[in-house]
Amino acid sequence: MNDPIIEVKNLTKTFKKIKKKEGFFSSLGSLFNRESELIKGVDDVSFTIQRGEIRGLIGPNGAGKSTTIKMMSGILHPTDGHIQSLGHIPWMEREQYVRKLGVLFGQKSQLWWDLPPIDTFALNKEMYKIPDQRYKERLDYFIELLEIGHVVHQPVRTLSLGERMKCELVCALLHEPPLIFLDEPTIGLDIVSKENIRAFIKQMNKEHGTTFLITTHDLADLENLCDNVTIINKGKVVFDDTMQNLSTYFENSKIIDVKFASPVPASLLEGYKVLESQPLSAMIEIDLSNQTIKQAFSDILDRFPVIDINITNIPIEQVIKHLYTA
Amino acid sequence: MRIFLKAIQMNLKMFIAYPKGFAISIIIFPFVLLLNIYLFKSIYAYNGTSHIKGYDLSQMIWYYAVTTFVWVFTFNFADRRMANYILSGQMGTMLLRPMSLFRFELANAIALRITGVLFEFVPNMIVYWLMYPPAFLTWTSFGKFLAIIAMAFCLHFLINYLIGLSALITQNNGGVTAVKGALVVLLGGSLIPLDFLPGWLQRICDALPFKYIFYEPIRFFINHPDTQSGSAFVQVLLIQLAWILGLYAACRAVWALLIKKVVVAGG
Amino acid sequence: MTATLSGLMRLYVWHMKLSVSRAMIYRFDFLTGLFISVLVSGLGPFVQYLFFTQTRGYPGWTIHEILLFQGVLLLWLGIRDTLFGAIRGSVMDMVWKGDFDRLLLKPYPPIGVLLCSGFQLSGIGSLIAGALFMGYSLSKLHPHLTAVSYLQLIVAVLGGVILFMAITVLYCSIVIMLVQMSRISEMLDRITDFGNYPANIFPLILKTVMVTVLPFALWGFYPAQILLGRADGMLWSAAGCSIVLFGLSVVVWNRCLRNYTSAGG
Repeated sequence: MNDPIIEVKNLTKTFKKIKKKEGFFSSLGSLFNRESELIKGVDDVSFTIQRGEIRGLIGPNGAGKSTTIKMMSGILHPTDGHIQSLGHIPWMEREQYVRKLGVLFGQKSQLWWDLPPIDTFALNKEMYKIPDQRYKERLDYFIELLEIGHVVHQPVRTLSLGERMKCELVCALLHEPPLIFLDEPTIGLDIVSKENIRAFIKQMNKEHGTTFLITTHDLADLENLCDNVTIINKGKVVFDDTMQNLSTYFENSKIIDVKFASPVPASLLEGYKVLESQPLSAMIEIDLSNQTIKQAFSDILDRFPVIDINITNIPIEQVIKHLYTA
Repeated sequence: MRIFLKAIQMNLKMFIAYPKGFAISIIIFPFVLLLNIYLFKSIYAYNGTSHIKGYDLSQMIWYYAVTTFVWVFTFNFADRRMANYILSGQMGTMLLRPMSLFRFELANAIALRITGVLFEFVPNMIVYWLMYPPAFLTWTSFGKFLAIIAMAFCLHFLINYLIGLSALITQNNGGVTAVKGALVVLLGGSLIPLDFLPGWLQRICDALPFKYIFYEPIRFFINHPDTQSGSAFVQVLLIQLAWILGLYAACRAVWALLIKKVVVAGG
Repeated sequence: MTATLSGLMRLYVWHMKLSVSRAMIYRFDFLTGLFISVLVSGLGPFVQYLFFTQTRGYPGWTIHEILLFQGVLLLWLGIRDTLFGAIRGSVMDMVWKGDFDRLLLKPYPPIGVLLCSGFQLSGIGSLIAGALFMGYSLSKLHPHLTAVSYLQLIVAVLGGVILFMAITVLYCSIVIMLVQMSRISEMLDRITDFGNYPANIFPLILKTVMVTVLPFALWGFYPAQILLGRADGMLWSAAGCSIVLFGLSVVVWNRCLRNYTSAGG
């Protein structure tokens, strides 16, 4: 499968940042003479998204995710580098390009606050010139799928956050874009609403082959939705691979959970990398670069009164934390 | 007292952070003065008199220039801010602050005006002076203006604060604010000197506080003959003081009502 | 180009519909607001009336003529606020909330989308007040209108609308350039206020400015002069200049937008 829908190459964006000075007189001075420095918000970022993929784009706050998405949607011009998306250079042919693009910013609403969502949908129909028949079919389809039949005729201000997010999704998808950017689509939602939104995304992806790029801070979104994940930190790509490979990122480390038959004093565990210990149980991280798993296992079984033992990968959370703080 | 200083410092910093806005005001106000000079020159020439309603040409031109200064000295957002607190239900969190909301808002308004005076009044006054020298101005008249305008600031703040509190009753006080705005500009004398109004309307203005925000400070600035005696000065100050006390009492009364409602209804 | 324009026109109509339904949700506020705005709009003519009854007034204008001028002016302000009144507020809002990017996600030129969202129903307050004053003064003046004067009226009104669009585009440019803009609105109003006086009472140089570089005379002065049967040929130059200004404003906007997209974020 090699049918790229987006190719990002060496994307770089520098910002001029004005140095703010402390103290009154120095800030008065800056009225006339300001010092600025150049900051690389996005630094040599490259990745490719295949058609029909659900891609996660994650990174700590301020890592450059939003800036990257803005450049991919044609809002910002990069300082350097290249993007080819849906056959367009986003910022060069913005108007034609955004016609084929759906974007949702979870933290910002595009629905008219005082009016029912259906009015905003109708406005979008006009905006994207969706034919009457198609609009009706599409709307009915979404209403059924998202179960929002009773919601679309109520003023937006009376809706719950989950209902509103569903309607925002409809706004972004009404014109049948083959490519959709979702910026934190599950932010602030309860577990059930989150699951509904995820199921919907999955279904759109499966039935219509829609490509999604999702940014999120919720690992469950990644685990449930994404095939591949790109992690950005300090403007650079630090990981760009499958979810599978993310979970086995530390292939030389495993975590062993052991339960003991009788209390084991902490002193006996010295020499191991203990993550957590209680008299009757312990969690140990083992390094497999200079021993096999078999050796490590038998070593533990020999030394301690083990009644149960469990081996797992380093949790994804741990991996991501490691990548974020690196 | 420290909160005042802090608020002033914050406002100054904000102002300095956006120097372009400041540059625009310095460019535009002199342009407006220039147009006013032309306008009144032509009107005075056509009327063939040296004085209209007791104002000579330079006083009339400056009357409108000083209208801007009065805004610079007294303008504040207390009405909008208070109405917002009440209507958005933020009042509850505001009450958690370890100082009275009145003092907090006052500190904010004063801070805002100090920046305004420093960065708008002072430079514009210098430019205006160079463009059309105010022959009438003396140190005494200017000193009197400063005293009167300080009182006018308090008056304007209290009126706005009260109007903001009225959101408690009206729920949406956009209409009240608009009416107040119209009253302030017409009956306060910022659209046209009150001397042009018919006699009965002038009586009404005398009975309202608005003329003590615009009309009186402006007349002291342009050193109108009526304002030159010491007794006129004291009289205006006393009337302003009376209004301030009255309005402050009203604010306290409405505030007590508000607190009761917030406590009972839970914000 | 024409497809974009017709698309934008349809968008405008849709925005209009939505604005009206929104105003109808808050019916009571809307009606009280309307009543108040009719009253507040009356202030301008009232001040002029005072000026005229207390002095000899402006050279070349009688009291009824000046009331006609004020009526025309109010009617114009009404048209302006109804057509584009919502733009200033929504631009400010967008920039405050950092929502401006959303404009760039629409498949139209951003400035077109902005201008299309300008409809504001509350503008009809001054429209009503203006029509009242105009009706009254016309009934006293008995003007004679010819085919040419109707043509002139259309040119003046269209030119006025284009000029206002130019000023609005400039305003939006300043707002995205400066971000902090609480006073910009007020300052802009201060300058355009000079369209509120008959251009011919100003000295020649200023009058020339008002029919060329800043043709504010298109808003109240020329329509009134046409109705009074005394418009001069500078009307055409004023209308022409408004088109040039609009072109310029779009150039400035595009520059600001380019600046924003290549530096902002």
